[in-house]
Amino acid sequence: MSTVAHAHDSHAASHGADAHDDGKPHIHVTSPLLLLGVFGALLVLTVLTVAVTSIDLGPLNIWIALFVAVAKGGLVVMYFMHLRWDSYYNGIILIVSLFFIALFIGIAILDTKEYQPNMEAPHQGQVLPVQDAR
Amino acid sequence: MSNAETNVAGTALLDDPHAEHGGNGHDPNLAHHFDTPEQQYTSAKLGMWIFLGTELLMFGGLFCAYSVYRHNHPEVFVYAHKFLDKWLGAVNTVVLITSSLTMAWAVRASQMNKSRLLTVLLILTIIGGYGFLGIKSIEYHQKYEHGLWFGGSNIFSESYIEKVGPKEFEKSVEHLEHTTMEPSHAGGEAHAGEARGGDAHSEVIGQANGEAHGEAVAGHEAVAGAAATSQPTLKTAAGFSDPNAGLPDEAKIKPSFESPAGLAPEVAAADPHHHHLSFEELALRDKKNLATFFNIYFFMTGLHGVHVVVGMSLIYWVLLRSVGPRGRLYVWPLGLASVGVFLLYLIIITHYMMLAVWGGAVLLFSLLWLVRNLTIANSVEEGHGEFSRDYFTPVDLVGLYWHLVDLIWIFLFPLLYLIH
Repeated sequence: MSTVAHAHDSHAASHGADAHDDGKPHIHVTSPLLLLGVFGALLVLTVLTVAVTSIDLGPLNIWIALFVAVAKGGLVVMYFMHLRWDSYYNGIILIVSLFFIALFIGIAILDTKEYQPNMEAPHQGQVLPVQDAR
Repeated sequence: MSNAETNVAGTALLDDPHAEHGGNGHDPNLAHHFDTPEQQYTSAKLGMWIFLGTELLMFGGLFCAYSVYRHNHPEVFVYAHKFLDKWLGAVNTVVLITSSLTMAWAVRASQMNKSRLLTVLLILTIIGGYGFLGIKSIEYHQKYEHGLWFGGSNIFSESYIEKVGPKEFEKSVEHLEHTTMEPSHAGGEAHAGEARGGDAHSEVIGQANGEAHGEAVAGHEAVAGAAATSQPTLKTAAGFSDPNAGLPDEAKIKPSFESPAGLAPEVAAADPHHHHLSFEELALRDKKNLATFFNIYFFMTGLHGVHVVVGMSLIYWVLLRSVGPRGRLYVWPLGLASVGVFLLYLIIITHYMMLAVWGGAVLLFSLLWLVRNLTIANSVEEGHGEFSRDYFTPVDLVGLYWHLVDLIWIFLFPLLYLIH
C-alpha cells in the first residue's frame, strides 16, 4: 500500500504552516520502543510507590505517593493517550478538568478546616453506640 | 484542515486519490457533515476528550469525598486500610498497566494497517480486563466474607452493632483484626530483631492469610508469613505502654484543627510508624465512622469497576469491527463464551453454585452458536476489518477510554491501599 509513505508525509505536513494536504488525519504512530519504555517506567514507579510505603517519612509519605501517581498519570496521558502529539485543545480540556477538581477539593478542605472546631464539640461526653460496647 | 475552507464539501473527496473504498470515490467512513477525514478525526477526538473531562469530574466528586473524610478522620484511614490487601492491589495495578500497553499498541497496529496484530492485541486487552475483574472479585469476596461489605453489612456500621449487640461486636472486631488485617507495613523487616509479645497470634494470622488469598498471588504467603511473625500484640509489645490508659477517648488525638490531624503525641512517640493502631486505640468518633471508609472504598472501586466493564465491552465492539465478516462469526460467540467462563471462575471464589447454572448456560449457548457459525463459515466471505490507517478513530477513542480507566486506578491504588 502507498499509505506508509502517505502517513509520513501527512505527519510532516502537519508541522508546516499552510502545507497543502489531502484531508487525511495527521497521525502520529508511537514507536514500540517508546511504548515499552513508558510501560517499564510505569512498572518501576508502581514498585517504587509500594516500596516507599514501608519507609516512614511522616507527612511526606502521602505527597510522595501523590507525586508518583501524578508522574505515572502524566506518562499515561502524554504517551499512551498521545496527548503529547495531539492538538492543544485536548490538553486544555484535561487541564481545565483537573483544575476544577483541584478547586472543588481545595475549597471543600478549606471549609472543613474552618468548621473543624465546631464539629469536635458535640462528641464530648456523649454516650455513643460504640461506647456501649465497653 | 488547511484546505477545508477552499474545498466545498464533497469536491475534496472526489479529488482524493486515497479514497480506496466506495466506487465513486466517496469515503464510506466520512460523515456528510465533515469536509475531510482530518476534520472528522480531530472533531471526534475533541469530543472524546470533553467526555473524558466529564468522567474526571464525576470521579472528582468521589475524590473530594475521600479527601474531606480523610482530612477529618485520618486515623480511620490508617486503621481501616489495613484490611485491604495491598498485594492484590499492586498486582491489579500491573495488570491494568499491561492492558494499557496492549491497547496503546493496538492503536499503533491499526495505524500501521496490521489488522491481524490489532485483533490479537484487542483480545489481550480484554483478557487484561478480565484479569483485573478476577482479582477484584477475590478482594470483594474477601470483604464480604469478613463482614466488611458496604452499608449495614459492614460490621463497623451502627446498624450492625445494634443488630448483634456490643459484646458480639467487640468479639467480631477482635477476630477480624487477628485474622484479616494486612500485616503491618514493613513491620516484619523493621522490628524483626525486637522482642515482641503476641507471637501466639502469628500462626493464626499466617493460616488465615494463606486461606484467604489462596494461590492468587505467588509469593504473597511468604510476605504475609514473614510479617506475621512480628505482628505484635498491641498492649504487651516491648516498649509499648498504653497511652490511653485512664484518659477519656478524645484525648487520644490532637485536635485536628491544630495540625493535619494525627495521633496524639503519646501514641506517635510509642509507635512512630502507626503500624499497630488497633480498634481499641481509636478515638470514639473514629470508631463510629469506620464503616464510611469501606463505603468510600466500595463506591470508588465500584464506579471504577463499572468503567472497566464498559471499557471491555467497547473493546469487544472494536474487536468485532476489526475482523472481517467471517472472523465476526467466531468473535461473537467467543466473546459470549468468555463471559460464561468468567461466571464459572466466580464459583471458585464465591462457591455460589447458582453461578454454575448461569455460566454453564451461557457457555453452552455460545458453544452451540460457535458450532453453528463454523458450519456456515465457508459461505461467508472472509473480508477484512474496518480499520486502517485512514480510519481508526474507534480504536483510538476506545483506547483513550481504556487509558482513563488505568489513569483512575493509578490514583485509587495508592490512596486506598497504601496509606501510611
